Amino acid sequence: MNGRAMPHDQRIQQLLADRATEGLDNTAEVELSNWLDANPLADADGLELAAAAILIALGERSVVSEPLSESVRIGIRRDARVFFAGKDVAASASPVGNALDQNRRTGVSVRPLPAIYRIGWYAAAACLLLAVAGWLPGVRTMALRSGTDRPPASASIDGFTRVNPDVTRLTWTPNLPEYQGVSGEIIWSDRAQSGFMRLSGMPVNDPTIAQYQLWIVDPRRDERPVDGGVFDISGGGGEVVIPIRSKLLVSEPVVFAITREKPGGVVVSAGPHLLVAAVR
Amino acid sequence: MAEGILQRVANGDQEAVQQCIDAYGALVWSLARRYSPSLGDAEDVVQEVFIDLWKSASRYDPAIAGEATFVTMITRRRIIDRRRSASREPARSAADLRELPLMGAEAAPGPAEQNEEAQLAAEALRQLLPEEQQVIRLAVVDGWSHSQIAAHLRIPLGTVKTQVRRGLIRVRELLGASARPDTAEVAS
Repeated sequence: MNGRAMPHDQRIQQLLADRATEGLDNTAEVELSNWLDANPLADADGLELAAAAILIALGERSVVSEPLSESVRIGIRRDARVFFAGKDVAASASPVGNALDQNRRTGVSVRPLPAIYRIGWYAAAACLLLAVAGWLPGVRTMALRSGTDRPPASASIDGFTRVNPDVTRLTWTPNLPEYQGVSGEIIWSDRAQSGFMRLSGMPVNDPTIAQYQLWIVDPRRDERPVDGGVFDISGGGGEVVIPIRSKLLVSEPVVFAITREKPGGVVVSAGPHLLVAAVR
Repeated sequence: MAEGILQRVANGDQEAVQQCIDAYGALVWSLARRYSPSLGDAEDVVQEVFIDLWKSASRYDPAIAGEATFVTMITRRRIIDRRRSASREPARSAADLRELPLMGAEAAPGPAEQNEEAQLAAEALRQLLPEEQQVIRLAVVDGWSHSQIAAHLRIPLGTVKTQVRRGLIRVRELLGASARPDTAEVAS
C-alpha cells in the first residue's frame, strides 16, 4: 500500500485491526507502539486507512439537521493560528530549514513564567487550587481520557526524548500526607503535545470507585486546566509509566496535577491535588 | 503536480488551512455527529480532529491514499479514542446510529463522490463471505465493539476478531495493489 510491509506477526496484525475498529486499551497500545518503534518499516496505518475507505464506501449519505456551528469554525481557526504560530516561532530561531528541523536543532526555549507563577511552585499549586475552585460550570468536556488515548509514536521514553529535544522533565511533589511516598516525574514535549508520567509508590485505585485524573495548566489558555485524561494504578508494585497526550492544544504548560475523581473523570474538579509538578 | 491541501497545510500555508476547513469540515462534522452521543460531544470531536490534522498533515502521503480517506482515518481514530475513554458502547441497533433528521444542508460525501479507495474497498468487501462482510460493516460502519458483534451474531469473539483482521487486510491488499503513482514525497 505504501511500500511498507504488513507485519507477519498475527498478534501484531490483530492489534492493528483492533485499533482500527474498537481501539486498544493502554496495555495493548503500549505493546503495539513498542513493536512499531522497533519495526519502523512496518505499515502502521494501513488497516486504519482500509477502515476509512470502507466507511466511505459503505457509509450512507448522512444529512445532519444542523450545520457545523460558526463558533466551532472559529475555534478551529483559532487552534490553527496557535498551532502554526508555535511552528513559526521555532522556525524563526534559525534561518535555514523547515519548522520541524528547527525544533530538532535548537529545541524550544522555556519562556519566563508569568509573574503569578514565578513566586515558586507552592504558589503555583495554590494558584491551581484557586483556578480549580473558580472553574465555571458548563465548561466543555475537555475530551478523552488518557487511559485509552493513543500514546506517542515512540512509546519508549528514550526514543521519545530523542525525537523531541524540547522535552521538559518535571518532578512530582506530593501534596497530601498519604501520597508522601509517591515519586516520579512528568516528561512532556510541547512539540509532540504528549509525553509520559512516571509514578512509583502510587496507591492502587479501584476504577469502579475512583480514578486518577491528570490536569495540565497552560496560562495562555483560558485559565481552565486541560484534562489530561484518567488513569488507574493496579497492583504489582514498581514504577508505572503512562503515556499522556493533551486533548486540546497547550503551548507551554506550567503545572501538571493529579486528582482523584469518580470513574470516568470530571469536567470540573473540586480537588484536592494529590501530586503537583510545576515549572520553577 | 499541484500540491494538495494537506501538503500545503504541512508547509504552513495559512490559506490552505482555511481551505482544509472548507473542504473537509462537512465530512468531519457528519462523522462526528453520526458517532457522538450529543451535539456538544460532536463539536468537541470536530475541534480535536482538526488539531490532529494540523499535527498529522506532514505525514500525509498522496501516494498512499486520497485526502478524504486520510481525513476519515484521523476522524475515526479520534471517535474511537473518545468512545473507549468514555467506556461507551455504541447503540445496539444499527438504525439508532442512522436516525439523523433529513432536513439539513451539510452532508457527507455520497456514493457519487466516493473516492478511488472507497471503490476498491467496496470491491474487496464483495470478495468476502457474506458473514464476513456483515462483521466488517458492524465493526467499521456501525462502530460496534467486537464483543457486541459476537453477542449479536452468536459467534465466538475470536471468530469476530479474525474476520475483522482478515477483512481489513484484504482491503489493504487491494488498495496497495492499486497504489497511486508516486507523487511528491512528503516529509515525515
